[in-house]
Amino acid sequence: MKTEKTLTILLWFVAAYHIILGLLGIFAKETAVFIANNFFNFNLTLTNELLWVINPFATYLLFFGVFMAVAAMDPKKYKNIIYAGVGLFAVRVIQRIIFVTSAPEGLISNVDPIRNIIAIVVVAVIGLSMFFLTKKLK
Amino acid sequence: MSIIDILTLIYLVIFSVYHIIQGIMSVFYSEKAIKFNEKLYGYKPKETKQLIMNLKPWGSLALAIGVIGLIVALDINKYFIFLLAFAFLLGLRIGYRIIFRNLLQIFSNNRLLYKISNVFKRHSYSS
Repeated sequence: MKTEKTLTILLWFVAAYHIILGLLGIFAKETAVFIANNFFNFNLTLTNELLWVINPFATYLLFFGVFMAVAAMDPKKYKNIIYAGVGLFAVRVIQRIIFVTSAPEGLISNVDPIRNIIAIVVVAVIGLSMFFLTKKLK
Repeated sequence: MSIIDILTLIYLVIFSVYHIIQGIMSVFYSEKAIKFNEKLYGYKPKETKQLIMNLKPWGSLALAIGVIGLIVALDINKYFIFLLAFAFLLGLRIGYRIIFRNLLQIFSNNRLLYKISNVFKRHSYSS
């Protein structure tokens, strides 16, 4: 019971995070630079092309959040959906490592290695917690 | 299985496989993904450095959405509620293409999408 409750809280947190970022991307594009800077460690310069790319990006953020919210309502029933979410966190960890090691100069907003490691660890801990809590569900 | 169920299943599998392919390419082979989309949509970006860095997080989301789509397709009855979300997602994507058709014309040479979106616009004016 405790496992399910903890997982539910975690899933709602993940859902809220993605839904809020998605809604901001769709309805308040002027916040995109701030979001990219603070949540994706990325110095964004808005161009017409990127204004378009933000649309599908924000839509997928929003719907991933919606999927996690639905999973939070019944984690036992939607175990496989949660595992797909765990997969996303795993890809994100790899992607963040690739980004900080290979992104062109000027595109990374935060060059402090400690802060970058903390950001990667946080994503990894959320993903691993989701994985082990889901595995423990009976 | 009714004809609607079969059509839903076919659509969902195509949608999912498409997103998994786009996701893997965008995350791991971003430059190839840009060329792939150029062929598919006539999308010709002028600046690619930023675009590549945006494609990676977008690709990871597309990959996850594609995998979720396949999970739903395997048991549509169990995951029925997710189908509603997928339908809404599709509606939003179509809406974007119509609303932002002028912006899309700046860097896309896909005349077909432009013509389709204009048909929608004319129809909405006449109704």
